[in-house]
Amino acid sequence: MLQYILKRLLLSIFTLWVISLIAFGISQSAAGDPVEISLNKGEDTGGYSDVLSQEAYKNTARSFGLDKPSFYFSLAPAAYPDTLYRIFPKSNRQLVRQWIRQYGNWDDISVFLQQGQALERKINSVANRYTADSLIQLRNTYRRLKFEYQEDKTAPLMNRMTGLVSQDSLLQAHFAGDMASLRQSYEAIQEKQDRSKLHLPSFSWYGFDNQYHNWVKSMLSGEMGISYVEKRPVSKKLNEAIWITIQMNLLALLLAFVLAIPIGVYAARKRGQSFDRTTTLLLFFLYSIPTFWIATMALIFLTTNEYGLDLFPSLGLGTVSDEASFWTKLGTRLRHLILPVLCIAIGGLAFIVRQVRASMQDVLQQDYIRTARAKGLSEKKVIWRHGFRNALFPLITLIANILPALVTGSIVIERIFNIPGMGFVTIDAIFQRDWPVVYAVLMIGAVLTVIGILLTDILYAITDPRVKFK
Amino acid sequence: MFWRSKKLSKKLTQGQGLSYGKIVIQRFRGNRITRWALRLFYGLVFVGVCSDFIANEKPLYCKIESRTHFPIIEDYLVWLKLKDPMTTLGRPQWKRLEYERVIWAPIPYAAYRPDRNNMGYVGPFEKQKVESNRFRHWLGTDRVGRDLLAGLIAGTRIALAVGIIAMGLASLIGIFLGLLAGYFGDDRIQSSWWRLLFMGMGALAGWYWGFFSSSFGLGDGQVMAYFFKGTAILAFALMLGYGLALLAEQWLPTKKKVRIPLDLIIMRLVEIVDAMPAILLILAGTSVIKKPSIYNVMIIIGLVSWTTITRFVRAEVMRVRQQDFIQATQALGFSDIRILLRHVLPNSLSPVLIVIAFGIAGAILAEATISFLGIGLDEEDITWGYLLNQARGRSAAWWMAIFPGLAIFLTVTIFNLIGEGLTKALNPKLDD
Repeated sequence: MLQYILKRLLLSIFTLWVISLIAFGISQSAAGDPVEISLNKGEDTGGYSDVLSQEAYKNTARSFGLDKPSFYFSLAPAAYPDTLYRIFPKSNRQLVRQWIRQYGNWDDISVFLQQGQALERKINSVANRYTADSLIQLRNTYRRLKFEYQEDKTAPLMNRMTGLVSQDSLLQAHFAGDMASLRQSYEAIQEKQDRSKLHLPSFSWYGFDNQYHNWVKSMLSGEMGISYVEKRPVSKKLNEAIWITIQMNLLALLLAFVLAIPIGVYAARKRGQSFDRTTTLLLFFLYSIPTFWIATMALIFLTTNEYGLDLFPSLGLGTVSDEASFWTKLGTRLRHLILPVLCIAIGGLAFIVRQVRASMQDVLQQDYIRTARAKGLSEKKVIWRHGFRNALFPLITLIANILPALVTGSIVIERIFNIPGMGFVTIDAIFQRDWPVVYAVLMIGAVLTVIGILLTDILYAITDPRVKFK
Repeated sequence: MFWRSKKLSKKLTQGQGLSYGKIVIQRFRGNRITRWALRLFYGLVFVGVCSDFIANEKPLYCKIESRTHFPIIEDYLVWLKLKDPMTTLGRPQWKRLEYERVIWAPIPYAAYRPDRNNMGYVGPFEKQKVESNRFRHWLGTDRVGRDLLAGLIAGTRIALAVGIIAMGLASLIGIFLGLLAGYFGDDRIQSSWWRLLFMGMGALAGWYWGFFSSSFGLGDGQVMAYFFKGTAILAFALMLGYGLALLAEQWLPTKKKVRIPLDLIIMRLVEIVDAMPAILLILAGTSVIKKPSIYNVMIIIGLVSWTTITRFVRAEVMRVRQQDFIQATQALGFSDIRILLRHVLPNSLSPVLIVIAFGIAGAILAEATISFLGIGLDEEDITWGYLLNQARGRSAAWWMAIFPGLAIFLTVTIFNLIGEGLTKALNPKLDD
């Protein structure tokens, strides 16, 4: 038994490890640049903005640990430097790769790119002192050049810049030397191009101070990463939300079970009769109704005065002053929770009734039920004492569904009723592109599912002697 | 389960001597509710396929300056590059053109084009600023004046596309992995150490040179060439590995074989994917999307929902594999691939239909949820979920709440009913 549990535990840890790799993999390929998202507070500016100063960018990147390599090791063709992750901003990395793909000689390319940056800084500082059309032209040409890599695009731009500098006396006075060396390094790239290492594998080991390691560490320590937008641990953000969600879902589950068990048991008893057939039909349709539709309808028809049915408070959880008595607080909270809880419960009801009915039907055909009836026990006792207790047993499998549903089961409902729970925070994070929050919630959901499955298996093994411990 | 068909038993006794497939079809059609679901399904497909001709701001046919045009068909021809765009009418303000003769589409509005005269949630029964009843918004409009009925019809096409793209992808992955896991199990693939070594090295090398090293600094227009070249290199590397392994076996034969526990690996993968709550995985997946489009969401849904299909196919293949006719094919010395594709696959596909039918319902629901939340939508994507979400903007607009929700509900129900009907038709035992 202990061995079985241990084995299952190890397997679960393996599963979680792979899931963490998947989540991290998604996070690495997420669109957009985390630093920009953070600096722009989640608003989409569409690519690199010139307004950001390099220093601010680098500081933000450092504060998120983004200046570190992403994994323990990297495998890349030898032509690409293993310090590529230090190039900022992120959008430049792809450009550098494209340069290397074209010419293969990183050393010369990096000289060229650095000289280009120095030139831009100088242009900017000169532009602070003088105003001239030629200066602006030079700056604009360089700004176009720095996003290009293909030879047929860069060469004309280089020529244009050289031409501008040689024709204008102001430019000549300031930039003749810089331009000449830029030209030289540009030509050096083409002369010394070397594609031999483009496909030669090279492996580099970065050690434990990497983004994945730190992310897993912060997951385990309960910090769960750092929110791009709020710049504080994700767990702080989720802390309050998770309790609201659990509260709501527990209520909903309780309600669903309280309704589902009598219906399911009764339907199983009256198998094939009109009650069974109507409930099955109704539940079948209920099963197909999207919960967010029910919730939207409830929101529109029952919480506003538009149709004369302003029965429930509409959005959020209500506000109560801190001094209010416990009962007032509870009352307000409950009044605000009625509709969302009902909507969640309806969503789960059909599924649970189906399970209860099937399980009960199975039990009622067993010999011991006939025996109990033959003994002359009352129908009530037969059904509840002998029947239902045994029917509960396959319902253990529901635990695997319930546990994650406690936290992730009400994402849409929370959004509709503006309840600041996990789902609300998650969707908000998606709109702000605050991805660490989303991955943290994904990991929480996965951990709960894995625990649920583990618990189900162990409970099953303990209660059912027929299950062999393999 | 909850409905019975009276004619069924009679038909079945008449149907003695029919093939299995015909009996199943008969049983499926013999059910009144399933038959209705099927009819509605055909209706949906019709609306989805012809949605451009049912709701469109362009006329079906018109005559301008004594020249005849079929603007909608012309659009299709331009799209197929069979017609020069310069010879069409272009993009005029269709409602303001001077026509000699004109036939409008049944609903003369496009889903995404606002009607500026009827902005701000105009209801179906309210007074609308339209020329005549021909141009009435029968189900009302939304905040910016888009016709709801036209939106519902455009949404039908998207819902069906979800079914086809998401479930098509999920079926491909699911059936492939399920076949492998079920047929080969944990011990049917055995290879010599040599073969494992060289084929493994070949796969590694093929992946590295075919896909990995050339993925660095890939430009935008090179993706297709990259995939073809990569696949060719991978295939070549694998063949090279195979050849080397054959040589090595000749040179130094090894008796000992390694078993590859394919079933274990695939089922572990299924468990891992199943352990992530689907809706969260889809939401996290949307972070990868660079350009929002509803079709990307469909692909993500497909990538997430193949596990049930794998489980079903695997179980079914394991059952079929034990049967005499498969053993006979093995005794005849047919190759594994031939047995798999010609004998195992056709005989284990029917239960998959059930999963696919329910899966389509689930996928449509998932897509509606995602677009209800407003995630991953492009500006011109009008979906049922998106329309329903607009109801939250104004509570007086009951039409925005009722009709899109009803459309989702009906469609999901139709697919669930078809799934239920298939379950019954394929499992005669359930009828007792």
